Amino acid sequence: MSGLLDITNLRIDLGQARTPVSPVGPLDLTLDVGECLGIVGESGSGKSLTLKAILDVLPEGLVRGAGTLRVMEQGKWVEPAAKDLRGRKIGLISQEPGAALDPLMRVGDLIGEIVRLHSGCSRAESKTRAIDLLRQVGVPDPEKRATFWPHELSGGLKQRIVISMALACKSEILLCDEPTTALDVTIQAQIVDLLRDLQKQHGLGIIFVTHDLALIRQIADRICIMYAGLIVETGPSAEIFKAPQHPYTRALLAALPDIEASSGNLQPIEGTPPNPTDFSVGCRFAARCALATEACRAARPLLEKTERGTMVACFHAGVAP
Amino acid sequence: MTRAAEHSHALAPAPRRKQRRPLTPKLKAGLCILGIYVLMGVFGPMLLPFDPDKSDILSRLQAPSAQHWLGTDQLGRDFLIRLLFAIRIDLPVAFAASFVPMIIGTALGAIAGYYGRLTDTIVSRAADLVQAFPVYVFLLVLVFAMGSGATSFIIAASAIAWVGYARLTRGEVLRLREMEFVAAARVTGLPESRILLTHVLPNALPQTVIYFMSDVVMMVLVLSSLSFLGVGIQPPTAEWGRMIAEGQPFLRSHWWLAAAPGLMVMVFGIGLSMIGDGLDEWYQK
Repeated sequence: MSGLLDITNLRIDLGQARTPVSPVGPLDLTLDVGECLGIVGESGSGKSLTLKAILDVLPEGLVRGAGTLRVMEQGKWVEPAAKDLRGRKIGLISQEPGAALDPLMRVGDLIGEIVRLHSGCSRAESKTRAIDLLRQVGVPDPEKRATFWPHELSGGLKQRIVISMALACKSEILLCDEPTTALDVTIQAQIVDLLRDLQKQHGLGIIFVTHDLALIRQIADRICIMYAGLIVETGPSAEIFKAPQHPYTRALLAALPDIEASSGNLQPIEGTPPNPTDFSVGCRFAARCALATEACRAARPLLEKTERGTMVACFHAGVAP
Repeated sequence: MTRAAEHSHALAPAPRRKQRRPLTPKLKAGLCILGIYVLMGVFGPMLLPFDPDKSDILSRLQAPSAQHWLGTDQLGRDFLIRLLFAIRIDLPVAFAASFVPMIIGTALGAIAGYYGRLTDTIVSRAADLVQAFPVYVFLLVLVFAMGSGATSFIIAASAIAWVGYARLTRGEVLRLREMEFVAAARVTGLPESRILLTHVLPNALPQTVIYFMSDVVMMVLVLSSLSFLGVGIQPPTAEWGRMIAEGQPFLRSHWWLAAAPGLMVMVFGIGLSMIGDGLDEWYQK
């Protein structure tokens, strides 16, 4: 497969901290054409920040510290500035479709504005193209819906509008930041289907961030498990679900309800993730890990290849608890 | 909404568009008052066969009669036509004296709030500087320096009143800047200036419009106060504040000469305040 996006050593720093604090990173990510990469982790593990860092739209106070970001451009790796990626190569679909639409613009105009920006076509032409885009993302009755205000649409439709905005930019990579979290389960399924269709049709690369393991199992080809700003395990989705190696991944899966093996209680993970200001030098999961030893607290394990084709950052990888 | 309803909603053809929100009673009443003032100002003087500025000393201080409905003033001019004619002065001047600073203040506040850093420091310090002076004293000095008249009043008012708009807009823009849809617009590659103009500013404007209404009331009061003090609109032009000042010596015998222009100012103020309040309610609904 051919590469599309390659991130090495990405780090997000807290801007004005006296002692350097990095809530996220350093981490490496790659994405291939037509691939769906899932990033899974609990709240505060830095999954959303990672996506925002790629486009450099981090909330105030956070900055992209170190790291290089390369994208494939006509067969060559280039390292563009984040602002040249926006609205072109990479689109972002956020958690709250309602908040992502300007409440004072009709949705057709919203999409039309982006079309005009990127193609320089006339107002009238952008209108028809906006309606085309709405039809592509499965909005029924698009001519009429184009004249609607965002508040007149349901959550699912709003998310479709946001997706069509990314398509209007002709993005090759879609960063999806929990795009279905705010939606009903049935609508969730529709949006996921839509994303998959688009992925196939246009060969999009998708990075899908969520804490919903069941969902990620359905759609991701490859998975990164993030904990406290670091990737602790990564590899093909099937392998990770079949044989998780990292104690955290195992604990996550143990906390997942399973229809077939409905015996026994779900296993919660005791404790809370550490605060970025007191990340230890050792493994960040050590405090909650049953396998933790002195070695875990003294040094941080790095991602290493396993024989199953996955990568794990743990000194005790694969050891049953 | 239940899942089934949500589901069918997504697949059904678009529902009928909702009607526009109805205006609130307050807003209607306020708009009526403003409308009546405008109509009176435009057509009123045409219907009366008098010259508002031509004095006729022999028929001075007449009581209301069939010929002069509100009597005549101390120079024998028909009082009603002067009262109506003043609308043509007070309204446009007050609107202009609010509109110009609205444009200036909103632009400065938006730039300061959106781009921050140096622009914010400059605008905010300048605003502090202007606000440090007592409003009326500053106005008096400015108008005095430029010479009285409508133009210098508008310039002087703009030099001071932009501060309110700038602070208001800056605050709104600071809030809106962090909204998700601004980030979403940025992600689609829109340039910053375009985001500010098409996405941030329109969302900040409702507050500005409401403030503008109360500012016009303020400007009518300020204009008539200055004219009352003799540095606003110059005689013989009819202006409410000036008329109050001129009617003052005759309060005992001809109280309406001072009261009627006062009433005109008051009702106008109430009308515009109602528009402001009504707009606020209307936006919140």
